[in-house]
Amino acid sequence: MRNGAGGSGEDREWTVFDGPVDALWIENMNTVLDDNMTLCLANGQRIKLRPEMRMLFEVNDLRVASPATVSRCGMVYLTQEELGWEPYVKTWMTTKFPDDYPLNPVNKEYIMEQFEGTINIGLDKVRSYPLTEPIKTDNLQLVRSMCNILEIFLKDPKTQIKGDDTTQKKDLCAIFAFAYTFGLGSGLSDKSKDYFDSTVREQFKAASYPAGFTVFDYYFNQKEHCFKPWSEKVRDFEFVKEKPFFDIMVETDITYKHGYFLELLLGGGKPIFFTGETGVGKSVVIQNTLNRLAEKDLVPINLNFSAQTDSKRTQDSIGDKLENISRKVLGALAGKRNAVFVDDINMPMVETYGAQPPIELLRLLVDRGGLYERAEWEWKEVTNTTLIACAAPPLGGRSPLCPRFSTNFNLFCLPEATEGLLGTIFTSILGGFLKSWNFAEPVQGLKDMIVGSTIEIYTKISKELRATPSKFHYSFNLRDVSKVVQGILMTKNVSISNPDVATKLWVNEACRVFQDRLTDEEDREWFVNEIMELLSRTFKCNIEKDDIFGSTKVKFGDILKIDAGRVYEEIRDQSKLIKALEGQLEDYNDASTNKMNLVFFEDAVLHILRIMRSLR
Amino acid sequence: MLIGVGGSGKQSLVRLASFMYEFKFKQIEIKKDYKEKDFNEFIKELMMESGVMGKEIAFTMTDSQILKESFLEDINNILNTGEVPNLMIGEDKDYIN
Repeated sequence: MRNGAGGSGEDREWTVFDGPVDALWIENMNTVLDDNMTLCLANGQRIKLRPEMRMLFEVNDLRVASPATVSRCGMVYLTQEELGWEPYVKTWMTTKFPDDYPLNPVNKEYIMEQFEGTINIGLDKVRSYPLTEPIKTDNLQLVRSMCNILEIFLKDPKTQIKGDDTTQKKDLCAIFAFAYTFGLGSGLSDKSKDYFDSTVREQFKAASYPAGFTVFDYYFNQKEHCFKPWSEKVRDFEFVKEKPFFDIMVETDITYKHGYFLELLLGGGKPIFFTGETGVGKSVVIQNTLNRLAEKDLVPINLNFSAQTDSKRTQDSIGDKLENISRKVLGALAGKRNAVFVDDINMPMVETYGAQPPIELLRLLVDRGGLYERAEWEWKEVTNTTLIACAAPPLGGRSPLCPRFSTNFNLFCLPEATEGLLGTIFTSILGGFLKSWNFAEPVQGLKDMIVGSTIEIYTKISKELRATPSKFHYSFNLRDVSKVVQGILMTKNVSISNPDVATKLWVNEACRVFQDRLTDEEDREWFVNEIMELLSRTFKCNIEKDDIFGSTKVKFGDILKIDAGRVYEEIRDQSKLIKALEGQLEDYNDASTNKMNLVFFEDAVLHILRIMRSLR
Repeated sequence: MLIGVGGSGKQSLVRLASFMYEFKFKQIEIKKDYKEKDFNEFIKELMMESGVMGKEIAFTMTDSQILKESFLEDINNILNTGEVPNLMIGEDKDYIN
């Protein structure tokens, strides 16, 4: 401003304020916005504006702007309905595929025809009842998402359409249908996707989708010129003994599909947004894909948002990892590209006037492709960097994102895993583990029951024991299922010699994961009954309730063999256990100055075993 | 997370359990005027010990030690990504390398 006021000449000067307006900072501008045209700074300095200077505010809404501000500005209200998607698609076509671009004019015309014939029907369908989107999108965003996919397909030499005119046309139709499906429909909730299926099929009869699954379950195989289910691409799971549990990933058609799109869009430098309920594997898919690509030319930059994240911290974390290309450009080293992955992006706290500062910062990055460096407030362009966002739908601590931010993304909503799919995932992990460590045959046979019962108890507990204000931590998610399996994976074949012990082990792990979280006797009793019911119905074994939940409860731990390889096993001999604990306590007191005097009654013993189980 | 009324022996049990696994038991030491900077320094030490020297540590924190919300932010970062952004400055990085 100061520079502008000091300048001369007849050229108009514009200062653009891009971002939310609230009643505080803009109040200081009142004098500059009215006839005084004088900016009064906090330090008492006054800057008189020249008549050639103008100010422009670009905001999403005026919900929190004061009348004083509103009345001082002229308003222009731009709606998407008025603009429509046509201008965007036309611009896209002419800029991305200029006349000299080797794309057949016939094909170009065909694409435009398809756009005109199908987009409105698709958009209407997406907006109609009962289709829902967990994270709101706007029509232009959907069209843009679709263009992104189409563009990458048409531009990549590997996927460019070839062959004679009829095959080209057929392929193009199929690719268009594919982009249409995942551009417009990928952000829909699970059930809505089924509704959207018929719309796609109706309009793209020429693409000849196979019957059976929904259109979301197919990809277009260009070699064979037909649609194939994603599940064909999925590799069989192989259990690797040495791999840490957290790195185990069982590939499914869902993880494969989304990993594929992530790679595809990253290749085109398009921002991506993954959403879906907690535990559906959003972060895992992203992490795995990024790690895989990191072996080639990708530099992942991981960020994790929480309620306390502020914009300075965000900028520091990103800026830290970017390389200085030149004085005004940040980016990646030659031959590399950056991917900024922001997990839980909608967690930052909403300030009084409804804005989320870290989000506004990221919006600058995706929308404008740069950041203001904080020392001198100098604009720095950020190149070769793509943003990947990931968040569960807004609820609880999660707030809806500013539409001006989320509109930049290709949105994908990961479906919730069905019980059948979960069963397959965990059975293959558990089965692989039991087999590769040569567990006894009858123990191996229990794997289906163990996984099935774990999923059943998880489904039941998340339905019946809901979180309430006094029990707000009763939130169960798929991680809990995996923790039970992880617990079982701590054992060795020598300690689990027969199915009875294996069953008890499962009871123990399930109790540690689920029951230990319950706060009152009533809930705990409910859980015990559920377990007993499952034991008799699924496991068909005759373990008495008193054996595992009586005065001495079932116990697993490695304390008896802590010096001999830490074998995690069932502990039956109560006196031996207490003796071992007392011995350890004595050692502790000998070694430390703060002496502890502990009595190992049943509850204390149980607690210490729980802590040890977590520490292992 | 251990929940229970005060004096039920939560910390003692953790001390004993971590001793049995030969983990180093660490806690922040609250003194007068404990600030974010002190906490940062503590986390840095913790990271140096565990990450650089490879020691196994049981870092315990009680509710009374959460003086600032930003402590939780750091811990959340450690739990989720395993790092705290902008913790190490130039000379620390040189030391690690």
